[in-house]
Amino acid sequence: MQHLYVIIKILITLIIFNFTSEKKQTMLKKINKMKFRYYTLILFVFLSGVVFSQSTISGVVTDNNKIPIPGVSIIIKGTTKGESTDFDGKFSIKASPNDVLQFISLGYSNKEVKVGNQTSINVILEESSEQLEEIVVIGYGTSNKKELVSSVSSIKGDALENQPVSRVDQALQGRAAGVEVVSNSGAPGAGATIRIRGNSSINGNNNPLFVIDGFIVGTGFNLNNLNVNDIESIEVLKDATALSIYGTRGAAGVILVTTKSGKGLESGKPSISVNVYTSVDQVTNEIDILGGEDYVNYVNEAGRFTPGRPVNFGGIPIAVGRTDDSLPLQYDPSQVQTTDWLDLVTQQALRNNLDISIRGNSENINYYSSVNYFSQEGLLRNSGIDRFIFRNNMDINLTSKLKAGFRLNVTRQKRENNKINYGNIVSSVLPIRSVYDDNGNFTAENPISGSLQRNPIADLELREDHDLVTNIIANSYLEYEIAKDLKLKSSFGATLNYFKNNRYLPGLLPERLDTELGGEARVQTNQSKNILQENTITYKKVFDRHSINVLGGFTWQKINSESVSTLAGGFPFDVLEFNGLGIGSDPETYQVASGFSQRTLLSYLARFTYSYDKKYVLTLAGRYDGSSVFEDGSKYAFFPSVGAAWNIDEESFMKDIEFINRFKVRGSFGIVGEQGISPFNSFDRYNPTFNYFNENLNSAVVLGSPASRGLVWETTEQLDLGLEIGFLQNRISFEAGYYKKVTKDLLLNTDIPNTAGVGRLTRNTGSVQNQGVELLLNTVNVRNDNFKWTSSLSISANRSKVLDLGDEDIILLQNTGNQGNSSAALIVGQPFPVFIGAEYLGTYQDPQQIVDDNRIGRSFLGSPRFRDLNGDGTINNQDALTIGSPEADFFGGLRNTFTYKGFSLDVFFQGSYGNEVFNVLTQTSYYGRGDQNLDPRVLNRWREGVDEVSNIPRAGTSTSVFNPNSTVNVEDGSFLRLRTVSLSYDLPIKSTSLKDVIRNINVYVIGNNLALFSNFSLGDPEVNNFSSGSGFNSVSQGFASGQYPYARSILTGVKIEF
Amino acid sequence: MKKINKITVIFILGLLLFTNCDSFLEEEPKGILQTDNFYNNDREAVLATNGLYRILHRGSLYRTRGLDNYYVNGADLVGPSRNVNGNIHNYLIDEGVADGNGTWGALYEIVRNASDIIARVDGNENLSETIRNQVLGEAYFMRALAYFHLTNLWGDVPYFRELLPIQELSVLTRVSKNIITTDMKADLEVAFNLLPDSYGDAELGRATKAAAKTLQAKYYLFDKEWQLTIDACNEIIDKSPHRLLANFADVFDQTDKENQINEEHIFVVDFTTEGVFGDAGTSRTDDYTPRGSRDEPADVSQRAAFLQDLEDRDEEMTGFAFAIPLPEFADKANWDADDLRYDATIVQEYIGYRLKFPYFRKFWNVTTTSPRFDHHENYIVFRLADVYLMAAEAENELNGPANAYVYVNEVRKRAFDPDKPWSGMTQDSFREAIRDERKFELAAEGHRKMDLIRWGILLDVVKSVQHRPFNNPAANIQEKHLLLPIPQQELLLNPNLLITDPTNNGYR
Repeated sequence: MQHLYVIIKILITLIIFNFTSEKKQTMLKKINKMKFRYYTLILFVFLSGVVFSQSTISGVVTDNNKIPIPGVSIIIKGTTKGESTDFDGKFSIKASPNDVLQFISLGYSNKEVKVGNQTSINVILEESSEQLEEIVVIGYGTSNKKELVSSVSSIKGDALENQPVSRVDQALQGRAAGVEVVSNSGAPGAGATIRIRGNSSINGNNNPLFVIDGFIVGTGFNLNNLNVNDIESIEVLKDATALSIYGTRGAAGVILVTTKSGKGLESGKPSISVNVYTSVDQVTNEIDILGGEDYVNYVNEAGRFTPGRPVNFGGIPIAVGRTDDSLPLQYDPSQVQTTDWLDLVTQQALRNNLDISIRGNSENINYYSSVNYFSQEGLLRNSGIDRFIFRNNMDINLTSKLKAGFRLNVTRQKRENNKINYGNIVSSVLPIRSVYDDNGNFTAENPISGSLQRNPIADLELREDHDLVTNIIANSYLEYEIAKDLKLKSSFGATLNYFKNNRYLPGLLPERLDTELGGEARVQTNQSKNILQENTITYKKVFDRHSINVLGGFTWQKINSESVSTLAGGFPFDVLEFNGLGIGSDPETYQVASGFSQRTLLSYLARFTYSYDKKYVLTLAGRYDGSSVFEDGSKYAFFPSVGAAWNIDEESFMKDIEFINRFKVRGSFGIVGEQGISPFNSFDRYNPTFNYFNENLNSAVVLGSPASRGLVWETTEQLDLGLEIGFLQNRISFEAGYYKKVTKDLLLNTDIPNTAGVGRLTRNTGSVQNQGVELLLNTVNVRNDNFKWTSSLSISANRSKVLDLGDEDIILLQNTGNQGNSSAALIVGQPFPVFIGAEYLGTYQDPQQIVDDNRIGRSFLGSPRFRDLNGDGTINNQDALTIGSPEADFFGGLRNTFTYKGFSLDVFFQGSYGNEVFNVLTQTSYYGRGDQNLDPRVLNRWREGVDEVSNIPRAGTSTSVFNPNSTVNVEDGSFLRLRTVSLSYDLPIKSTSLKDVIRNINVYVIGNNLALFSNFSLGDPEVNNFSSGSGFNSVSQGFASGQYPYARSILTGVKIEF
Repeated sequence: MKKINKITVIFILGLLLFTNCDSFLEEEPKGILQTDNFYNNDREAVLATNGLYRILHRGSLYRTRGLDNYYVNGADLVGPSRNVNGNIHNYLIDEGVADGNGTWGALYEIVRNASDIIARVDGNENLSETIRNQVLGEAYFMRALAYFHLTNLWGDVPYFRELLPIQELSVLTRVSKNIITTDMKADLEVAFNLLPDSYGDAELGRATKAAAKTLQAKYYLFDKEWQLTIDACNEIIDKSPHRLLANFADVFDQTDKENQINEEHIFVVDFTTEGVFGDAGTSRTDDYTPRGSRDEPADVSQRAAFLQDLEDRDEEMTGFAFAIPLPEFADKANWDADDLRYDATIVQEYIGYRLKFPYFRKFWNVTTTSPRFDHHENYIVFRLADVYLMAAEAENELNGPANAYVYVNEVRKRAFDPDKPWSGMTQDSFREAIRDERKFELAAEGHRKMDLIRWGILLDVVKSVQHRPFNNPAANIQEKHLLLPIPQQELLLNPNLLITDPTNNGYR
């Protein structure tokens, strides 16, 4: 139990140390909850049994080439007793003849030997692919984990294999500490929002930079272009020393993706793998909408509400409002039917995936080739993805000193876009609207407002809208060893992306038929090109106990895109659609536009690592970055960093502490940047537009958004502290990290008065801070001949804070609802963003309250009541309080893997605690705006003579007046999701004749999103991102408005290896 | 070693290629129109003025009920057919609540663009004299129109005449309305001198001499400068090509897209259907058109037949009806029984069916060639009848009714058959009568509320007029509502706007 005590003490000290005193109190409460989980988990591990025994055996452990392996753990099976080999691979251990010795070393396959009568046992360990776990990919190179001073989350092979995901971001979800991945929507191919250690920029970019096989594809890379099964490993770089090598693009974190190669395979024997799966997706966590009859009753009640019925109150007549039964009912509830639109537009969707890959190596060549076909139907009918990916990787030793290679990825995909706007159906396609009218034609109107409204079923059946994307990522390199330990590497790569969107709205669409507009076709194309050329020189030298690793480099990159978009209307027939733009017979509707954008970067980079005796490691890294988007004189900036690590386990005084086999502390500090502005930002411009004179079209120009001058880089200073500790031959390994990031000179789009200009002006002003902890615990709970149980728990917490906003104390973010004031803001001293709004006090239930609040004539009995902070009788932004934040107290994932013989069961929970979600639809569905859908909560509304104590507003009192955002909008967004349960089985083919041809057959069943525990009222709380875009949108998270639902899927597949 | 050198040399050469790095990072702003490279020829100058007209299309100005919210609503003529736009109708306007922020913003956008044009075009030798004069005239006119609305709605407002740096435009204080209006009257004189009398068919809709003069007359009238008002009106009546149409209803008949602008229109904002930009068409017409399922006809059992009849006529009723006449104005008993304008203005019955509510016929358009949200009807900003009535009012105020009849009777001529000219009135009775005359002639055209304000009777009128049950402005209207509060958003960004008046027009 002493071990347990030490672990917990370290854990608690660390957590407490990591939080500033002001937040300590509240945090401690939450930590207490977290701690409970640790206790139970660690307890579990220790219960898995400890037995002791006796005798002395010695020997040498070597690899295939007879080279001794130091540091191999030798454990007597079923016990915790063990030794390890010395520098010459020698060991000696006390054991009895019945014992089985387990030889375990990272990078090698485990081996077991029964002791029997032997007193000397020499063992040869095979190198294994697990060796990769020791080597971590970092920017412009790799690092031995011991020599790493950085915080890097590494996700390898088996965590990525056979996952029911089509995108890399989904694979990251809940798996890397400090990385929050939120699914924006369940639409096929929809991206997730990835935030590494919080938002470090407000206007700039907060999406991590993606680097694929060393090629910088950028922050906006479409992850659909990558086959998850091609990926060997994903590394998430989080701290300054790791990031500063990416200079101005590292502030939001970097995700390195390494694809597979033939390295490490047995020479001359190609390995072929075929993987097929099929999945069925279903809508889950549906959104509840009020049905037809209840809806009509509400509308009728609202229609009869009149502001009259004065009550004499101290001599003053006060209108408290009344339900005037003499007014005609607008709808007959008995005549009403209900259309379940959500049900009509969704479907059970199929997903199919086929991967075929071949990899291998011969003397001077290793290769990996794969083909992937993936198709996915959307949960919304008539949407989905159809995709081919072809990958070819090769490395060639041209001479003993010259090496070359290439990585080529070609993707062709067709994406059927949503024909309908799901959020609109949730919010405003009414249940009392029918799909067809009496004549069998599609209905075209919202029956309440009488305004034209798209008919979702007509949209599904008639609209055409798809994207065609061809994406090529190609890069090749040449590496030359100038002298021993000195290497030059030059690489050249390009990403070419060709995008085309075809859209056709047939003249038969009800809203077009109505006005005889005819068909309309739109074709948009975008060609982008990203060229990167990099040259690096590396010098690696080990002498005595010193090890030096030096990197220098020079790179340039040019990224540009050209777009053309065309539109034609008045199609007399619908045969040619977007393939016959010329058929559009109405020249008045023709639209053509084109655009060009370019940015260039020029950089110098360097890194120096020195390590002494593997104990002490020092790394200096930096990048001198130049970017075209800044004006002359501000184009360049330098981003340096320093990091150090101490491998305490290498110290002699640790040798006696048997149960700790890995113990490392590390820290780093540095500056990274963000160039968060768009090209051509410093030029004043006119925006082209049009005008009419007497129905004649004329071109026109108006002043555009103001140019921003004198801008410099955004800089983020980051401090990172980490602890890595491994117990009991790494059966328990624990990593803890603390970070603090301060971003200065924010490139902030500040509001300017309307007198000064349209839009916002970018300024270098303000600063924000993020700090947090990341905890990762991996345990091997049980391990014996047939059964193995491992757990992995990752928990992260980030606390953001606005330190300064220049001249402002508060910046209002956009209004998200269709009524109400700003719903989110940046406020100095608060996390960002925070939700703001008034305090909702319930309904007015006593005329005295109306008098007290100075709301005579404006509010009535049953009207919503808000706290009027400044007592001016008006509820506006001045009455707004901070009412919540989308920032979670903590989030994380727990993964348990059980293997028994050929079976493997993986259970993965993921969750978030303490985050709030802003329910945008409350503005319409709770206050009852006439032509919008209602929330079932209003069934319990205030009703005259029926329920005069309800705190849900009375029908009709708030339909046409301003309803501020308030505490009613904000709900607890905490959730726990049983994200994945996967069961796989290796068929026992070893005993059959198949074994000559087939190496392995694995069948698997995976359930995704099986259960959700949450109190949120509008479906799935995770489906809440207002936008994942850049700019203000990138920090406006946590807004639920009935976005595309998130699927539950059951997937079955088989993987065969030849 | 030779081989080593070869390869190393290639690497080094690769690096050398980029020793001249500075030009690699230069931006080539292709695809944007830099302001500094513009106004090289007549066509570019005209593009810039076209932009000014485009801003008039903003929803917060003329395209929807932007300006109408504050000029048409909240008086004694127009209200909604149901509980909508409540803050405006019920005088619940406050800082941050229907405070006109969008309107304010669009008006200042005009001021900035017009000032930019004036600075870059004045004396620009690249332009022909004709175009330079026209463009300058249009810019002066547009800026004066923007300040007209700004001073009407907010009183004292920030005032600038050139495109100052953003830092300066962000800290402006409010300037006395008198200073602004004085300058604008002078600017309009400049515009009047520069602008042409008229344009060819393809350019109808541009500002003319008469437009500048009418706006100037309005400034004079609002400042009670009677003689100057009369002079300006006479200039238009005597010298401009504009004529009163013989038939009142024809003034508003815009059903024929090809022939929308008539002789009486002095300045219109041109809208079109199926335009190539989003706000080319107006949706204001929808406010004046009945809504499909709820508003027509009064007898529900006739609905199917009515819809069929509409369809036969290629018509439909599909608007919002945010703007229908208030009960008293719709009641024919409150009109002169012989006033021909009643039937042209109000519609209670349509093709034989009694409608649930009365509507403004003068602004509706029920034909399907004018689709919802995308109507082609122009917004008639100024028309000649208004000029006659302004002249009549000013003449009466200055000299009594003797010489004022001639103006008002010209307008009344087409309103009555046989003619019912005025005569034999006192100055006071003429004043009362002209107030009603403006109401009947110009109903819902965006003049009424400012008229009531300048006559000092808005509160009395609003408190006494009958509203529909869901509106109750009488309980809420106060003296402060004669002006809007400076928008809350604007105050937050520029606290200097509170220096001259910490009460913000009485709202705090």
